Amino acid sequence: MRRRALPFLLFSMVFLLTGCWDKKEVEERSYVVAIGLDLPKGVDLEKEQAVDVTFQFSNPKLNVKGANPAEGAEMEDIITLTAPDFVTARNMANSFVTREVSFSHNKVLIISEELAKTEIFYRMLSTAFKDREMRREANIIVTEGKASEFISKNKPEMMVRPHRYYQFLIDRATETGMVPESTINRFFAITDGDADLFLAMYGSYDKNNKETGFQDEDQYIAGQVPKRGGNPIQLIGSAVFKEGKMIGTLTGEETRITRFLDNTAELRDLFSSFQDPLDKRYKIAVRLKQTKKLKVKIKKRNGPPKIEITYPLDVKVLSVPSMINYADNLENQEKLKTALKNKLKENAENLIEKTQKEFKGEPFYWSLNVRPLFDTVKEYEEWDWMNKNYPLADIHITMDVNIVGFGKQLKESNIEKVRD
Amino acid sequence: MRKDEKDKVGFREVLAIMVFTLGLKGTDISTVLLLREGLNAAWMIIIGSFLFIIPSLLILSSVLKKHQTKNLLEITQLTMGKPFAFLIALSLLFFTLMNTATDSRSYMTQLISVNFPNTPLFILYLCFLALCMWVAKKGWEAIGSIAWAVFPYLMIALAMLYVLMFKEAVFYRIFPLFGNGKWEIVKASFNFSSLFAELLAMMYPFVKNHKTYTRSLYSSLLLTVSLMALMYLSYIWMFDYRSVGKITYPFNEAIRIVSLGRNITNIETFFITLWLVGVFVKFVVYIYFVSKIFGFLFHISEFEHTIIPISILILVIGMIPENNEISLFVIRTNTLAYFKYLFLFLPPMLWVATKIREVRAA
Repeated sequence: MRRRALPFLLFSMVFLLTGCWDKKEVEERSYVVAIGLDLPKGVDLEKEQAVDVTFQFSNPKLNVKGANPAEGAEMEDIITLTAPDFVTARNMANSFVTREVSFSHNKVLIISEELAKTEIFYRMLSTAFKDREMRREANIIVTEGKASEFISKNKPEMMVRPHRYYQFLIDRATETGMVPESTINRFFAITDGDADLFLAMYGSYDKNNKETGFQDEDQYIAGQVPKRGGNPIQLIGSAVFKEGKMIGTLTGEETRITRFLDNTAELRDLFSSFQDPLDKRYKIAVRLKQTKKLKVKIKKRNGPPKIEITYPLDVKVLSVPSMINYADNLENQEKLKTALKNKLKENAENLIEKTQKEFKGEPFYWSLNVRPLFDTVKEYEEWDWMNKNYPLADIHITMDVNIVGFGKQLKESNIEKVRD
Repeated sequence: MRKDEKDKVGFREVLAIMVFTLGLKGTDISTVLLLREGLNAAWMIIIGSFLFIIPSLLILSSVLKKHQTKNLLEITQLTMGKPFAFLIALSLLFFTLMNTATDSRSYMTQLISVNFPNTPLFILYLCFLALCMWVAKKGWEAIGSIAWAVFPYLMIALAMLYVLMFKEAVFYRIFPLFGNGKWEIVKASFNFSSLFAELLAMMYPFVKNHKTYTRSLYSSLLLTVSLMALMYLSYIWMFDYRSVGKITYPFNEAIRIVSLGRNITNIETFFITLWLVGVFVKFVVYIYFVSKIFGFLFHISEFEHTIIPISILILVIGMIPENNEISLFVIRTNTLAYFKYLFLFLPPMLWVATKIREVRAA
């Protein structure tokens, strides 16, 4: 039996080892790491469906140790073409790209603001996910100008591999809270849920230096950060989407507050500065952290609902340029705490008011806290949190601020004595 | 039929087989049906349909105990006469054949649409069934050993998957707790009660003794139900109920989203490989049972010889539907709807018939 099986086995090896229909070597593929989408020029979108698609390919040669990256090849890694949609654009690209274009390692989807504000954007995106290579964990970045320029202007510092670059950029920016986490999966969950606003990362490149002058570290939106040198692209703030359509932007600060008020968001470390309550010229640098969950209590009643929010924050003081001792003076500490509380509360209240009046919806994913109030989906959807209730809701914030530490230097030097 | 001791399997083999054949339903296209009916309460339907099937299982167990070493169809023949048994066997054959064919086709389509876009369905299907057939020919004991051999690996992978999925989960998405409403859940649970019914009874003569049978039946069902409910919950937690309704293969999307930390992404191949092993075992068991029922129906004692023609028949039937959605929305919905009555009411009928016979004999 075994002797008869052997030739059969060897024979079948001929088929097995040559691979099957779907066998593709890495060499035969071009991996797209970023897809950019723009409104096409000279095409009437009312009559015809079209989009400008930009692909940035990763350079597989760079992953081979010791291999020289082809000189001057970087520019050719980015292509732009006009196609009916970005799924079919892959084959159009093959008219000049020699390898099979693959989306399976795509990290970001970069969309121009112009396109994000049209109704066609959601249609295009949601249906593209029928394609097997589209991945829901990719992130959405909305750019102020053209997405194609955003990609081509991008000169990653210290990094030659574009896929690493995007991953690090996104990871770090979300850790500091300047931009929201905006995976496509979240986009669909929120848009289909139809009860909250979705926030996408907001990016820009230095176009015409429209810096607004110096402000606090997080009060900018992309394109306004005062800086010299470095990569011309910036990622700060967020684009607000309502029902699949972009309706506005939030600054870096507002994005941070949003993420503190959202229990599904995770923040790692967040440096921020506040006015010193005892000497208004200086700013105290603090590190903010949320160790406890935000509590959202929603009371259903006739008319607009009443919402009680407990907003916990842990504060670590990092620098006190006014040289006032806060660490060992409990009275000062209390003053600092009250000042921080008031400031944080005011910021949050302003943001909430803005979302209620301007956006008529909330980006904090509070619909999750509304849901347990209902037994069935039907009741919940008829109650209509976003449209009928949130904009009118009566919201109260209770702060729960703890000053958890004063860094690794207890006291400030006595400035009078030093000067002496 | 051969009745040597070799053809019997023990607790762990039955456990593995049951978990594979039933549990994999949490990963295939039938999730679409359940999520459509139950929205975010689909996991309750799993538990509900399990509760619906429990009474018949208990009755069945007591009937089977009286007729040790006989299977469901033989008991039917003994208590209710040949014509009736023939009818039951014929409909059971029809059900299992249709089910195996549409199911295997749908698994193949799933594999093609997610992993092998260029491979022709026929070739993939042929390879798949050829392998299943080959294992099924080896006999029941071999099937049991294979199931048990791969069981730990699959469970470890599954546990890993759950942990990774929890990292992506937003637990509040489970609310509003009752989805479409309590009554709707009860109705849907009843409608899907044949989800857990297949093949259970047929297993009996292949298990060492009655105690092993009941023990393995209940423990495997409990394990499967909890695994499946958790799987459905994970889908809801990851995608939210409106968004998950749009996804054809939530399982495949889920294993694509999870990643091991920041650097090891795109790990779906690992899960898909192990999943495929489970799918193989599932269809080996299905094919084996179809041919067994066929053997009973046409009095073929060496029914294992019919495995080859039956596999070919499955291939032919499976190739008929134009696309997977037809087989899902038309064929599977209907077979599930009608055959649940068979599974729900046959055991009580058998029990009554057995009682009547006993009384008459006395």
